[in-house]
Amino acid sequence: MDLSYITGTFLRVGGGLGTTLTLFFVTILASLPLGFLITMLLRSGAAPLRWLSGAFVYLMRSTPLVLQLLFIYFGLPYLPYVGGYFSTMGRFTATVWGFVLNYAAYFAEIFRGGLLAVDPGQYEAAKVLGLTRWQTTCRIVLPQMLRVAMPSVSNETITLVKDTSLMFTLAVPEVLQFAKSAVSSTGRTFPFVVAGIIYLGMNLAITWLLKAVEKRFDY
Amino acid sequence: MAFLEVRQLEKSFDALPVLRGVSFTVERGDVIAVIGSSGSGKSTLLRCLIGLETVDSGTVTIDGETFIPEGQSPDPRRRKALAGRMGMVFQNFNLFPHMTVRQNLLEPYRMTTPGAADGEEKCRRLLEKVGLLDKADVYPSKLSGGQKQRVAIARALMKSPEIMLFDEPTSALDPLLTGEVLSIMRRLAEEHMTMLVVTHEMSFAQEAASRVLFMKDGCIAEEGPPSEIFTRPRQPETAAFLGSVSRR
Repeated sequence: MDLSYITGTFLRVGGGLGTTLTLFFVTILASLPLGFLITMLLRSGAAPLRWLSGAFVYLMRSTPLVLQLLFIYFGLPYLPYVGGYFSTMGRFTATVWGFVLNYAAYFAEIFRGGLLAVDPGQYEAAKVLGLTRWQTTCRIVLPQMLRVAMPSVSNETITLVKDTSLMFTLAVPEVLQFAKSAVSSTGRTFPFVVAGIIYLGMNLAITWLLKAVEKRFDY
Repeated sequence: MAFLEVRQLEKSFDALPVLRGVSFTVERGDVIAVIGSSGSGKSTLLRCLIGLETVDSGTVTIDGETFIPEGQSPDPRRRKALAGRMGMVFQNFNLFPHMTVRQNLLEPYRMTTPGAADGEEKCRRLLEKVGLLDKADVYPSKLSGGQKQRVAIARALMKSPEIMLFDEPTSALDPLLTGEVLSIMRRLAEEHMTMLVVTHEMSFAQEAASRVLFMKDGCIAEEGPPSEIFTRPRQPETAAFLGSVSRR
């Protein structure tokens, strides 16, 4: 195993890194705010909203993500009447939808737990000081909720890095896909090791980043 | 017309009546001590005045302006105006833990009075007043209970309220720390701040209050200057209550 083989394998497997990172960042950026929105719906005063959001969270958390991906890409186009709208959806788009909805449900539950940890006295103080509901949510409640939720959010983020490999299901060319085909075509184990090293590297960077974020909430 | 007029305030929590027709008036500069045993409705009274609880019936008028018309809880716009004229200090301080002492004073002030340029100056002056200027950049978690409550008082004073409500401000404090909070409240009283203080500190009620309201079962059972209430109460309930607290 010479150096050129090693770098060659890294370049080949790393060819899927763009797709993997795109899915990761799009999912994080979309599912965090969507998750908070769902948290608000879970706590809404209107029972139908609470019921619907509760059902959504249950559905997303209680079925396999792989099933959800398959359902979106292969299942939706066969639906009567509306199926046609989904038949042109690309594999990557389908994956993004699945990931965003799935992770939003998990984040919603994490945020809900964080909100329970915010002392009711905080709302009362905000109220007597004359803050609006919006100000109370964004400036008083959110920062305190995030502090409690951060460790769980970090956990979920690291899981997301590894879950990106589920794109394999829809044959989207990403890191694992490239590694698998490299192993098949060369008959060597090493590309899998490279894939492992790439995931380790991503999570090392993310763990470090999340620690820095958590520090900002230290008070 | 009195500065603050409370008429026939009634409030129930699920069928349980907590306030049963409370009426009283407060003049500017009055320091009213509200005393009575737990469950007599003292805290609920304050919370109704500032809009933390809705009322079932009754009216509240400040300076001739009706804030809580007959049984109607204030709408958000009115509630905001109410918050601007009243400050409230809680038993558990309720400081914002993610903000430094300075931010606890400044941030709410800036959110409610956008464009005001006097925030920094006001904040500095008030922290000096409560003796915590050196703690301006410290987070509340690093403060003692007494210091937290002094910050909470300074925070409530930021918007220059005309009435300050204190809901058992020293009940969560170590007995050694109540003094520093009470002395700031005494200073406010000397500066003729209009104050309503729900308290179990009988010495404060006796020395600093201009009038004492004794509440029992959701009603004001007796009211008068502390010299009368504490030395010759007219109602047997008042005498019994004072007897029980002095024996503690």
